[in-house]
Amino acid sequence: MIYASNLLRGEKVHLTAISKDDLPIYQKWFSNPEFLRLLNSDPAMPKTLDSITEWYEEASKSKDKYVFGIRALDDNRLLGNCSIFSISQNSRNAEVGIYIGEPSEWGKGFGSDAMNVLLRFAFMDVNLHRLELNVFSYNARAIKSYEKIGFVREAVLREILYRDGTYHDIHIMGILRRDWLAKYHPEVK
Amino acid sequence: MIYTDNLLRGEKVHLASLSRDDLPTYQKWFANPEMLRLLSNDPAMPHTHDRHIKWLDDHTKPTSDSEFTFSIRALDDNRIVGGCDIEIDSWASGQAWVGIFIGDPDDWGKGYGSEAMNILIRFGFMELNLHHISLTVFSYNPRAIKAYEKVGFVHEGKRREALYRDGAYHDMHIMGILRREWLAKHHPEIK
Repeated sequence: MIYASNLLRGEKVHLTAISKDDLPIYQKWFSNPEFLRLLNSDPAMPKTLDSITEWYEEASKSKDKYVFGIRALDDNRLLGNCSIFSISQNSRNAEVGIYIGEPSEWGKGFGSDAMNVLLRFAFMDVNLHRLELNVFSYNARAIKSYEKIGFVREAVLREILYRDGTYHDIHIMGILRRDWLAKYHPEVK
Repeated sequence: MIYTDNLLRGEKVHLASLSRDDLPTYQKWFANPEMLRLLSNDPAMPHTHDRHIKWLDDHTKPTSDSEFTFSIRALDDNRIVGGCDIEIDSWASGQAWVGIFIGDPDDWGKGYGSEAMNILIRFGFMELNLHHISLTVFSYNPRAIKAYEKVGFVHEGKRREALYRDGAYHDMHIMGILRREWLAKHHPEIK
């Protein structure tokens, strides 16, 4: 089989390019400290529109990463963002990252669906061998969803994240193409 | 106790700044594919003169407060034997990554690297106030893994098949050390 227009489409969402018009929505997401603290280890400082514009311009010019907006299939509203980055071209390895911006959209399966599409793009189109991601030990919802997709916990970086009086672990989870194929495309040998 | 001029000095080596005079030595080291393949996952492409100049310029005129790059020099004749660095990932979390190399294969196995790593870690915990230090090492570099274990690094996991070399995919190990572990080993008097 060959994917056609369904390559970037899941059951609930599809992956699209982002545009300048989307940036105010990003800024709203990046003002919420709960969201910021799940996203990365930087201090939860709300982002200015300028810094978001800078990120967007860098991402749209870059040739060594793939940055998608996640949009709902029903009304095409912007739900979040996902990307493939830190690509090691010769080792066919990369990192992935994903988020759903609005807390009211969490827990509806949008993130899992988008991650499944992102993995398909990475393994079936970009020809990557392995993908990995970082997740914080206190983000149980995300860990569960990554495990369901097929990611395996490969490392626990002990106490590398300070939040609220204590140090937390960061987990590295990885998935190999052959394991992904066996699960989602057993017909491909 | 307070470290004085011994902060950056061991018994065989000391950590010093980099200088433009080190450039020819760096260029010689970074022409050796064996060295390049232990150092990074980039293709083992010898570095050009211009790339070294740019790299040295970046590291001799530090513009960032989150990168500390040292040369490793022998105490006996002060010759440069390698390099090491600390890159801060997060000041708020006290988290950093370290890297180290001894440039000339003739100088491998003499304990320079282990000693320099001990000094680098001391700098990280006693001067930079770090909480945890991480490093990455390739599965086919058992000499380095053994040295890091001896310094006190613990295996925290491995990124499976993250590195392609010679027809196969190899793992990248991640090792880490916490300040309290390092203090218990090297400064048990500090509670």
